[in-house]
Amino acid sequence: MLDTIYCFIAGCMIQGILIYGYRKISNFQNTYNKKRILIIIPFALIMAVLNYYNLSSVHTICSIFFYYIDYAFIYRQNKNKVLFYGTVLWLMTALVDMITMFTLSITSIIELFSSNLMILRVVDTMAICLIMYAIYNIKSLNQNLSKVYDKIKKIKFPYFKIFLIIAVITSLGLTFFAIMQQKGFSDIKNIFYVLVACVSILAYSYATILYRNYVLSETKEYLIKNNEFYIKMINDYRVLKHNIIHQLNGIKSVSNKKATNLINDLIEHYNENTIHTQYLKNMPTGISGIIYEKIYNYNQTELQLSIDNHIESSVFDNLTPRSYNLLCEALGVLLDNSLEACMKTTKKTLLIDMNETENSYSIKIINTFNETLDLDKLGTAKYTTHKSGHGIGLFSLIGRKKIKIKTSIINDLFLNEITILKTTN
Amino acid sequence: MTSFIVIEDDKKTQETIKEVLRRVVISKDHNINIKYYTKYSKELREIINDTSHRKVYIMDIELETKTSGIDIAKMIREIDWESEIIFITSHDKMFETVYRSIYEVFDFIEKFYNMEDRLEKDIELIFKKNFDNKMLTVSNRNVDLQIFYRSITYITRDKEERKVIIHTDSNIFKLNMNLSDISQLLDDRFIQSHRSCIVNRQRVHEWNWPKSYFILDTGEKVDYLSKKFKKEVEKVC
Repeated sequence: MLDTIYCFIAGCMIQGILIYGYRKISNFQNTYNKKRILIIIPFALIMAVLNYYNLSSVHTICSIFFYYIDYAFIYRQNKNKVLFYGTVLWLMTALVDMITMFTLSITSIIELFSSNLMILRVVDTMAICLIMYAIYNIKSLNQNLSKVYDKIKKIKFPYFKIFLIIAVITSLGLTFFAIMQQKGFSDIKNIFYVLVACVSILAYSYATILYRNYVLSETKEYLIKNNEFYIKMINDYRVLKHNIIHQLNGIKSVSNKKATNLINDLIEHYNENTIHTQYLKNMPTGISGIIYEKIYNYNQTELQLSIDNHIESSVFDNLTPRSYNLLCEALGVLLDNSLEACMKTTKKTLLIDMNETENSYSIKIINTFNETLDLDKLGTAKYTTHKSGHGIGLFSLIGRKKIKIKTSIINDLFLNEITILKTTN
Repeated sequence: MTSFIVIEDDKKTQETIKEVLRRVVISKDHNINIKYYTKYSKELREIINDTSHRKVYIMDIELETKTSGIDIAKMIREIDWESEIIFITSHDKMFETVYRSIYEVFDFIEKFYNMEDRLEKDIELIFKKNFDNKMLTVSNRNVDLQIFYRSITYITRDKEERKVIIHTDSNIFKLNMNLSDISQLLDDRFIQSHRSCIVNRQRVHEWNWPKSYFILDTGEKVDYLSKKFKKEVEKVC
């Protein structure tokens, strides 16, 4: 019974010094709940009980796992850190233990151990703890260990994990081997070799799977990155093309016949599907030019169109070139959308209501529509009720600083109001 | 109370309208208020802004001032969709179609062709349908939505998308809401017919309880009828 108590004390001591060691070598500086250290008590009790029943091999395995649980539970760090520093600590302890045992073996003290007195084991544990305490306080060792960990951390492939697995398996194997040799289990030795071989094969297979998974995940990541890059490029190109066409339309509305032809040629280069107005003898100037160009294609349809123009000043003179381009772009986009939507309805009605105040111009485009609309997606990227490839028009305009677009739906009418501030002199 | 607002700059036409109103409205209902204007004014603007009671605007499109009847209609519709607008006009057909749709104009009456009879019939019709221009109003960060209750046929809940789907005469709208939230924005013409459906009972042509469907006045068959709601439905229908 006294042996069990000694073993319990030894268990608490070794766990205590390892927990301290972990904090030291991992440079753990955060605060932690110190009550959690009490976890060593149940673990030490389990180890004492195992020792009482002479289950030394189970005792060894359990103690290793208990150490890892101690670190993870008390310091709450990520599992890789716990695995690395835990293994380092365990290997260091094993090394110190081996050296201590070797030192003792060459002295006569080892004879005392052969008497199997538990108190001597406690003394041995205390000696090991003291040595470990000294080692943990070697600053250069701790600094180097953290450098090693930082380097290992950067290695993406789980070489590190495989190394740890092999290290743990080998250490376990050696421990078992030592125990068995010590206890003279020569018959079991052969079974042990077979077991070690099986475990090694399994470890190798696992390592291969890990490697393949790593290669696959790396390739997948690379492909995803490439894909995202190309999607972004295509979208940027689409928005750019879309904006250029509308800006060219804006310039065309105030340009002469020769310039119009040149611009049409440019538009043709950017967009093969656009129907041009090069057959028109004269392009009307200003905003009306854009409207005229847009509705020209619907000339022979049943479109019910009304234009209420209350703008008397020259839009071109009262806006900066950038604002004018923006207005043309917005008007072009919204007219395209409105015309397309209203042509699907039976009423086919479109009203363009243009007004001005002292400080701003506002153009209201009201059209009938017959659609299924997701109101929460309206105006978001790529949302469209038309065929795929649309959906950037309204999205590209929302959020522009100089222009405000308000969208409302009243019964079967879709209202878009563009407001743009006049240039203040 | 109902107000009649007449905006007409031609005295002869104004007299004719007065006569019709005296005959059709004043003789039948005492709770009527009639005001006459010849042009847009500050007082008229205040009347337009006051949406506390129902109004019928009878106005000429071509007023002699800068502000036309269309402009006044535009001002009205910016804040008020419940009032009725009747235009007295000699405008061409094309504009009539556009403005009738856009500004929800009740009628365009030609000045010089049977004006009295047409105006009388229109006023009677307006009283008959009892100004049914109440609207469902919902806003989100992208859009403001206003739909006449009368044009909503039914509202369902899509479990997968977690949205309510508002079915109207011509469109379908999807919104991030749930049925109980939207039912609070509706009036008593709407009743629950199914766990995932609210229906405008005035638009239902046939209830088929054994086969769990109802048919709308548009002819559309809707499979959202549950016997669980039979009592509630039969109580009001």
